[in-house]
Amino acid sequence: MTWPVTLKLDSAAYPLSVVQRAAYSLADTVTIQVGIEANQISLTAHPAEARLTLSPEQAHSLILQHLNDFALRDHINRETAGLREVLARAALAGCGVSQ
Amino acid sequence: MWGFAVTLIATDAKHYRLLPFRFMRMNTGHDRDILLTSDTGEYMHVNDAQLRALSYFDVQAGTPFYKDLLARHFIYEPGRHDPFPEMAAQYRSRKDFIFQGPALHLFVVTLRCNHTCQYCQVSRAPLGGSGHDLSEADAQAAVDRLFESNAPALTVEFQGGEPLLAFERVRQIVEWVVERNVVEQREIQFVITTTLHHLTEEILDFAEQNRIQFSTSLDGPAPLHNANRPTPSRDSYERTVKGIQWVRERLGHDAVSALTTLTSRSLEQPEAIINEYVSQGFSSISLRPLSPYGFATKSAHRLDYPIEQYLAFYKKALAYLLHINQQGVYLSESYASLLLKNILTPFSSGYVDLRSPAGAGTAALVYNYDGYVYPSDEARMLLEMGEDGLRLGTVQQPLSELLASPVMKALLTSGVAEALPGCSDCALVPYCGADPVEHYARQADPIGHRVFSSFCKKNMGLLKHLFGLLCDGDDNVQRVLLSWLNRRSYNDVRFPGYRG
Amino acid sequence: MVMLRKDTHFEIHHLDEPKLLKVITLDEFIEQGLAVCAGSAEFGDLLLWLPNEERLRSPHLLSLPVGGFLIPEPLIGDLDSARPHLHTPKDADVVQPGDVIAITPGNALVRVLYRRGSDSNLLFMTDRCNSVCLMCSQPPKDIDDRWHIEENLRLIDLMDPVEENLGISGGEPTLYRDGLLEILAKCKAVLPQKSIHVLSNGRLFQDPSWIAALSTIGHPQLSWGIPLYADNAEDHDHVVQAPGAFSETLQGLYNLARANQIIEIRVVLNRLTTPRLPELAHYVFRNLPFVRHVALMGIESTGLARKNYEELWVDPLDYQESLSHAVYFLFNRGVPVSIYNLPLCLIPAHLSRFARQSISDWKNLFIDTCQQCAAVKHCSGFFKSHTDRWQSRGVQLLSTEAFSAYARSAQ
Repeated sequence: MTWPVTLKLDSAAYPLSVVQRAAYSLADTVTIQVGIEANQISLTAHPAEARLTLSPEQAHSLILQHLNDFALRDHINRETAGLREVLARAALAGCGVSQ
Repeated sequence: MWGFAVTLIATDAKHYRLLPFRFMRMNTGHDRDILLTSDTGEYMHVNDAQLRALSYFDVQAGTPFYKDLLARHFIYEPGRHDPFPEMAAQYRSRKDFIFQGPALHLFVVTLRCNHTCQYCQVSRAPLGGSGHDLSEADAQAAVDRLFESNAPALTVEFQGGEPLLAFERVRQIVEWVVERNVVEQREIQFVITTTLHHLTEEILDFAEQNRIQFSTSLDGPAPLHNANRPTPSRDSYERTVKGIQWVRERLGHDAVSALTTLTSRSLEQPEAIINEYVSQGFSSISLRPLSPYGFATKSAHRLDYPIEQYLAFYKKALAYLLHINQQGVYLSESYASLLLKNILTPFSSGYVDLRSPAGAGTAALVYNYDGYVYPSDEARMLLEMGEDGLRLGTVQQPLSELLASPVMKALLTSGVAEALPGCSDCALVPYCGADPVEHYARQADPIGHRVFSSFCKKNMGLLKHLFGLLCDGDDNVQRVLLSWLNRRSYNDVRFPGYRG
Repeated sequence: MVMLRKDTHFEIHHLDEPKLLKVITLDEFIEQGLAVCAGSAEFGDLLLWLPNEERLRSPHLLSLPVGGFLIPEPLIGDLDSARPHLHTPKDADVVQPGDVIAITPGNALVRVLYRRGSDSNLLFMTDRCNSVCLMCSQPPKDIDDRWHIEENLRLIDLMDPVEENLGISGGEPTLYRDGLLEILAKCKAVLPQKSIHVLSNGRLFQDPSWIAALSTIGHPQLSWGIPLYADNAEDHDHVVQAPGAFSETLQGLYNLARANQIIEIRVVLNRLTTPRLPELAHYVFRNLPFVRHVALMGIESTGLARKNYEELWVDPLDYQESLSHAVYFLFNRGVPVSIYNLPLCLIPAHLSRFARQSISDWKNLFIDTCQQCAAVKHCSGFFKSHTDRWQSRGVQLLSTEAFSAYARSAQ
């Protein structure tokens, strides 16, 4: 495997918001260019700095791990939608902060 | 005999539902390498299989793991116990500080100073002038502002330059506050941050009457301290130590506390700095890294260091501290102690610089010598970089107006960590905070990019390190950390008990 | 130390109606009169302690305006009085001066409702309960026994006006809400020096209307002992045999906290509660940080506990690690914690500082093994219901050397 590292993702399994968060979290390691096609998202990753010590294979697996982790977070957020706000509202009622 | 499959009516067979939680890979190489944190701030260490099982409703009811998930608020059973009341109680306890107005009020009485510290964050004014002193009218207005906060306990801290060079103003302010407090009945604590070089008997008499405490800078042993903090007479260390002794003689051992500021030179000597604090009889040390303000920035290429270097220093220093505590010397690291409080208890540490919503303006206010009000000490230091964008207003404006200013709104919008990119998904967010002022100073954007944030790297580095110690440290390490958490002696914490 | 029961038989004469009477010596009668009682009392409430010798020497004592006489021994001669009198106790130690007794016509059993100096006096509210804990030492009865309220209100007046601990329990005291509130108000008015500790499962406090009622009382020394047996609903509800109890108890605890009440959490140590004891300690600390004390209690093997032996019995030697983890977890975080009802030979030295002598005098016994034990004066001993089946394999006497070493390592 060589640079740039590329991945093609099914956008049903990896929605754009998941890809964005994964790219954000890796910003100091790889610079990721996101291409949106019909049902897929393509990622092209270059090292973020010249002196990056990660091999392309390692980068590929790191990117995939982050994508999977953010996809899982997305699943958790969907399963728990609204609960966080209800909790905060109940806990902080009366503190004078509105909206 | 039956030629077709019996179709069951689809039911929701999930015996539990998820509660909001976050996870982080700790990369320690252990089996249970994933940290889960609930919105209450409770946590568990799990592995990949457990995280998947949890997320996909595959954890078997009645098992110890299942019961832990229920008890620590990662899951709940619809139709059975409703955990919201206790979750709300924990959440509220953690965010208790929102329910009161600013409690820390800093009065910058002068910029005059006799030191020329390399990392100083304020411009130093000559000793003789008074053009950089807080005026009487502004000081009086500031006292009015102070009492407009509804916080039941207030800390009045005098800053500078060197506040003792404007002692008459300090005296006036203390007297006005005490007089006003007869009616207000708040709990008031006075602190003077000072080099202790300009102490007099008169000042100490006054401090004794009003129970004023002192906070000073002690960077380490003499060569290090004097190199960091030059004075014309090159004896900053000697005079500071004399000052410490004098304060203790007059006001008691604990009437003075000390902070370090770490330059790259400091980072080479963790044990020496700690040994200095031990020989000066301090019970706590604060090992905070340089901030990106004032002169520090101008001399960045000489003084500044990557945060990774600070973290390496800190780990060494902490290891040494753990070692000496186990030998019976009580010296706690104050930032670690407050992080431990955040991790191990449902209470907030109260520290204004690590909160969400951020403490700038909500927890602390700075009444600067120039008559303007700033939301934090760092914000007024940006002034010295030519950046006046973070003024809330003048000290003559009522507090409600200052706190409704556009600057305040901008800080609040970028000051709730749970809503910031990078932080909102971070498992450490219950224990951490937001610092829009630092991000504004370092990245020119109060929200900032988390991956390039020193504030994030520092806190994440320290929190991860502490979680590692809590998980893997032996019993004696636990005992030291618990002794810091509750300010007890190491010997009194005979056994670590359940690690949770 | 001999276990002292709370009742005994007397020969009783001339008793026409049920009475609560305060036992008083002649000296006390002369020096204090009615002031020996904390509240409002009449001479008719007093029962004069009158040994034969005193009576025979000074027969005019029989004309003192008291409610009756108590001869703490077999009667010698005749007692010429139409007023109620008691003599020939079966156990002469049970009733003593200062005690308040309850007597009923046609019943030779004399109940001691208040024992001077015992520090384990309690106001019994009811035999009814809304839970049926597997280890309940006092199995509930479904009866209307509201009469306890009146008896307790009367009893309060007749107690000594001294500083001591006074418990309120049952059954479930909150089942008689108005009666309980009335009793608490009267305790504040008449017995302000006494610390009141109410034992309740807390479930009815889920009704927020209790908050105002409790806040109004404003008792200076009132605390509540509430059991919590697990960090999850399934396990707790199973122990108390009441679905929904965990949720109700937690709601109740928060309401008690809102009413600024002092709260103690109690845990009975048995096979169901000890495996997750450290987790329970964690749960209490995180969710109930206002709790002032946690009491971890050895099990009393009477009542329903006996038929649930298989589910409940675990040798204390087998839960020492769990107990230690829970105790130090709490202690290290500043939560006061105590171990009740376990003899010292079953508590490791490093936990002995938490052990209290907690078993009420009237149900406290020591077994044969204890007779030569050096620790006996510091030890809680056993419950009177103790049997071999419920005895740890670790019960043993401690020699003087062993006890000294033990006491040293407990520092």
